[in-house]
Amino acid sequence: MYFLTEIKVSDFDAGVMSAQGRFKVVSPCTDAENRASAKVFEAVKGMHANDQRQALLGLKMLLKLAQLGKPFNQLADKKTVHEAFDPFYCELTKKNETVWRYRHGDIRILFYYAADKVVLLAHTLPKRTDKLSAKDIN
Amino acid sequence: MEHKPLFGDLIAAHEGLAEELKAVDVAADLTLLLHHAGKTRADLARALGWSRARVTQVLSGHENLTVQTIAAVTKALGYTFDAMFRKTGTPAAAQPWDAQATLALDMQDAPDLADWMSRKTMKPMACQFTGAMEFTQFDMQLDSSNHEMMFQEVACAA
Repeated sequence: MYFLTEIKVSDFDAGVMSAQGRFKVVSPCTDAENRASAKVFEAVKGMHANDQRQALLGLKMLLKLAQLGKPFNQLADKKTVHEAFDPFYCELTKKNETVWRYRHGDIRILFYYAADKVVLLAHTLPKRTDKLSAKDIN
Repeated sequence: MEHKPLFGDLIAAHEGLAEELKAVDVAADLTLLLHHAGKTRADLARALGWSRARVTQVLSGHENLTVQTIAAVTKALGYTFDAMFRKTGTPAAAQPWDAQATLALDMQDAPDLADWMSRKTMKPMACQFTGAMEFTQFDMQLDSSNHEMMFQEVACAA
């Protein structure tokens, strides 16, 4: 079973309030009582030093941009935010879903938009080339 | 209960990362200000005589921006800025777009008047207002000694 936890700007900088109209950036976690079980936290923690540094910078940027409550592709250029690959039919939601990719240096953050202004972080990974491999997509 | 930053320990493990994250904050805030001001990157490039690539670089969060650069961008957008300080862990000051983002949420949630007036839409506001303020004394001269009499608090039906 998975739970969701919201990743906030205050997870980087204590005291920073989240804007009410923001996109809520959430990560699945395995333990409802332990936020350190969040997938995004585990992914970043498991990275090598420089990747970890870049991932933290990228994630902070993404969270800051989420505060305005506008889709990220309206706030950043196409090279930084774009569809990761063609929309696919999701059996769970019964509709076509688009996974988006946010790029910060060598770090790629994959996410998709869910209902009620929720952005679900799907994966955070270091990537040295632009194109995602079939392994990354799966 | 004090909120413990999830990434606090990871950040502390990297020398100089906290400062780099502040540079990201500034770049992100300039990006948000750009959109709050209703301008595009092309508008900003034109106003400053910069290339589009320069604007992208400044707003990317990859650069340690100088005060001169920040001042130039804010001025071009019709704003200015101050260096505001706060004790670690205390609330940060609100930005101009915070209120706009709230309004955008309300409007998206309530695209028409019927939805706007519905309890679902009112619910998030309920915690902020315990009652409605009714204007009761139309013929009274307002001064510092009686201004509280101008209003009578009544229960809010919503």
